Amino acid sequence: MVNTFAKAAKLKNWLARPDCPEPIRECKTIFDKAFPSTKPADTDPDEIATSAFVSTPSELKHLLSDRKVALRARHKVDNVVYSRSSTHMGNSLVMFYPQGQWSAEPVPGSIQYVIHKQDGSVVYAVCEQLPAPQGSVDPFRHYPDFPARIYSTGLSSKLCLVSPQWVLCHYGRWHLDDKRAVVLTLSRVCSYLTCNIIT
Amino acid sequence: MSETLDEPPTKTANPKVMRHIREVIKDMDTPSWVRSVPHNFGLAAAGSLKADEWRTMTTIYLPIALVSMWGEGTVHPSSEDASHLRAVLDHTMLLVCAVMLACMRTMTADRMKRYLKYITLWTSQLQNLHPHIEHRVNQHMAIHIYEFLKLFGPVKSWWCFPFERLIGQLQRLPHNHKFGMCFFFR
Repeated sequence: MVNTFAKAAKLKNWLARPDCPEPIRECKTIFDKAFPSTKPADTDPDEIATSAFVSTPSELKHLLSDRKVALRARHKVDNVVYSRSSTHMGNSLVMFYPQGQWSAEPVPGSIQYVIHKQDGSVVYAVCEQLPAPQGSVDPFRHYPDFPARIYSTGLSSKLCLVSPQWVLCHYGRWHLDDKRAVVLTLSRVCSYLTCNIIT
Repeated sequence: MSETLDEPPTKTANPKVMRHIREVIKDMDTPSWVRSVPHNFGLAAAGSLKADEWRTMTTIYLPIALVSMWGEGTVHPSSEDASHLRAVLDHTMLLVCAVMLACMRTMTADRMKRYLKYITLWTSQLQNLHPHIEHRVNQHMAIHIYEFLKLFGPVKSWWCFPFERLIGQLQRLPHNHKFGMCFFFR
């Protein structure tokens, strides 16, 4: 498999050279489809027009000292798209470390605002998923390597600021009933629940 | 004992179960990078699932649907039904957990051991719960994945999805169906 990849890479390199023979170049059409070249990086997607900055909305004034901010629909970090909930609910659901404390357990929340500040930094305003109602049974506790948990279907009414660096991953959410929601951590690197649940 | 095993109290994959799985697929909020699966899963019109779709089903939708139906706190017509379905669920979750661990982008000795534990338990218990199902070579091969994890690391670096994608791209290229004098068109 490694040999095949290496050969394909060499071939791509050869086809891209200006001195590549014409007959081989004719085969490039096929190879362009078979091994599509990687897209060039977006041209500074964070560049924002001055006119996009508006007065800070009243619900964010107690969180931000900035007089003007730009509110965005989405934000891309390492090719992963995070959105506000009104744009794409699924992309707004994030597990994050509260206050950036890496030793704490990540908590789920939904991004309500993607805020671009005038100094170029980006921050999310997030409503946390409320804990499961008192006394509710979590049937997922028996499966420690399946990182799902029961939470409330409701979100906190209080917004908190979350830096993109504090975000661990997205989570999937399904409403089990009117009061309980299943929260499934979608990290492919960390299964944080493993260390916290007794098998 | 054998009578109980030959005739399970409740058929597990009945229309109600399939409907519930489809509801979970339809109603669950997922990020856009999670690949979609057929919304009509289980119906003839959905066709057969591809390997990547099975992975999404196994690691996201199926476990949530099954645990919400058969897990702790669910109500069933009889205690026999409840215990049988719970046993089927616990057994299925062994496979789910094995797949979750095997698909991790980082691999540790502990994860490898847990993968081996889950997959051997699942294989050894298969015929206790499903006596009509015969063991297949794939199940034996799944146990060897433990050694491959030790030798090559996370499966993402050596799984065959890139080759599957390439085959798909080549299959979609229009050609004249004449082998040996093949022409491709844009």
